[in-house]
Amino acid sequence: MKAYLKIYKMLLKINFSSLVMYRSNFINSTLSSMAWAVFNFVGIIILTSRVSTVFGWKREELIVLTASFTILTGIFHMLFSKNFERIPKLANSGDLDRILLYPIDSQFSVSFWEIHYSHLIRIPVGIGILFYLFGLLKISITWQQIIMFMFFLVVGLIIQYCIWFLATTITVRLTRLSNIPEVLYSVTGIARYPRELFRQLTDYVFIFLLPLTLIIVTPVKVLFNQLTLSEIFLFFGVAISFLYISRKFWKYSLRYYTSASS
Amino acid sequence: MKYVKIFLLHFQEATDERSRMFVWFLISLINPLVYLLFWRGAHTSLPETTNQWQLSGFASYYVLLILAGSFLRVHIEEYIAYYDIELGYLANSLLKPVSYFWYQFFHELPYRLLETSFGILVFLLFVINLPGLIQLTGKLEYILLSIFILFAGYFLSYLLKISLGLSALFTTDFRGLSELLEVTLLLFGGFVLPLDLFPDTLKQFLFVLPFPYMFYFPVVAFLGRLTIEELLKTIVIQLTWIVGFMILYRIIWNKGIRLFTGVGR
Repeated sequence: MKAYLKIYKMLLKINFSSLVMYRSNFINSTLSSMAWAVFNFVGIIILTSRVSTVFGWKREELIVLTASFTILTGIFHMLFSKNFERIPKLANSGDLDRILLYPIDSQFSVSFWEIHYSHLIRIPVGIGILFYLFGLLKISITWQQIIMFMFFLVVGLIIQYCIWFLATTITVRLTRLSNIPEVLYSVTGIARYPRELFRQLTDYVFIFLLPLTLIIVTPVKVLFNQLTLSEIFLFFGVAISFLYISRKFWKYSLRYYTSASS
Repeated sequence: MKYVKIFLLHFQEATDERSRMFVWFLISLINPLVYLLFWRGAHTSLPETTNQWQLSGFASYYVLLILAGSFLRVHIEEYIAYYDIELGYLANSLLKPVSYFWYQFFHELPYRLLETSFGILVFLLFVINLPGLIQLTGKLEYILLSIFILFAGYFLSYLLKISLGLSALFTTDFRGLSELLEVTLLLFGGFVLPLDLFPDTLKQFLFVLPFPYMFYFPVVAFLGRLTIEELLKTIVIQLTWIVGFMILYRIIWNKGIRLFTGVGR
């Protein structure tokens, strides 16, 4: 564990150096990230411009969901998404060979190698809007709630990581589907809507989407003091099982990795 | 004839990549479906707020938006910026006895058609499983004008994206501009909400921009929400924007090609 922390510290440094080296690229990526954050906010504001409540959620509460989503995606895209975009390329080109030969865990290597600081911008934007909305809604938040919210957000991050990892691992075997990570950007966008929205679908589809609907809604419910014990169990249950399944699936998929004559 | 061959060649390539195309199609599918579910919920709780847009109106709009997203959202810019300009494959195209503009046009068209075929399947699923929910215009003159608006929308979308892709001739990294434009297209092209439901002043401003004429107007034209005069006005504005973008493309191409170096090719 200590060795992995040391490696990660080194990766943070290396990635920071590349940021300093390619400054215009960094500014460009920050702009892109900001543009998508703006899209999420403007999108929900437009969408709720004609309604005051949807599925029992007030307009401001829906924007709180989007703000929390912005914070989580900021962290997620900074730490993981580019790594997931790299997995299909590694499998397709045969460069995964090299990673498998490293004397460290392969899941660690493919998941944590690239860090994109440009997405950091979303975090203060999300936090700022969150505080503004709580002022607007006249809801007082305790320190315990903030700490719990952050903790639940980390668990949400783990669930999102597992979903992306599970989906991207498919490309180790089906190398043609290298565009799966692109779809995941849209798929995880589902997380910023209330769970009740997806209850309109058939039970099978709802169960399939359930993990996604937990990622943001559960931490936000901590802030609104609406979280039930069963929801907490469900949330942690999903996180632990997805961690286990994604790990097993990665190991299983590697058995079918055929390299590329490299 | 040579362009037909180019089209057929790339059609073959697109069908070979049908599983990838299906994955791309999912991007066009997910958001409209989520918005449709949103409005289904909002509609049952607050029907009076949606005015003339009843549930069937929203359903028809978002289902057609899936088709519009598949057909009209041209994705040529990354290919041009990365393969042609960054890796230098443009050098090969310059040597071919075909126009680069039309080569890329017939290169992209098969991919759009194949993605649309998935959209048609989803459309049919809605029509078969929920009869009467999807309501489209039935009058011949409206249909013919709508088809014209659809193809003009496609051409406009293509012109914008090819110009955007070629802008990489001037910049080292075009992603910032590309993402900014993508967000603008989604918001102002009517992908979130029918533009009809926007506040009046904002709506008037948006209807001057080219984005609604690429996606929103082709959709509402098929829904029969435009009168003959409005359909004709839409066509005139589309043609004006097409001319404007053609000029923009020419400028970018003529100036940009002088900067192209094609290192190592």
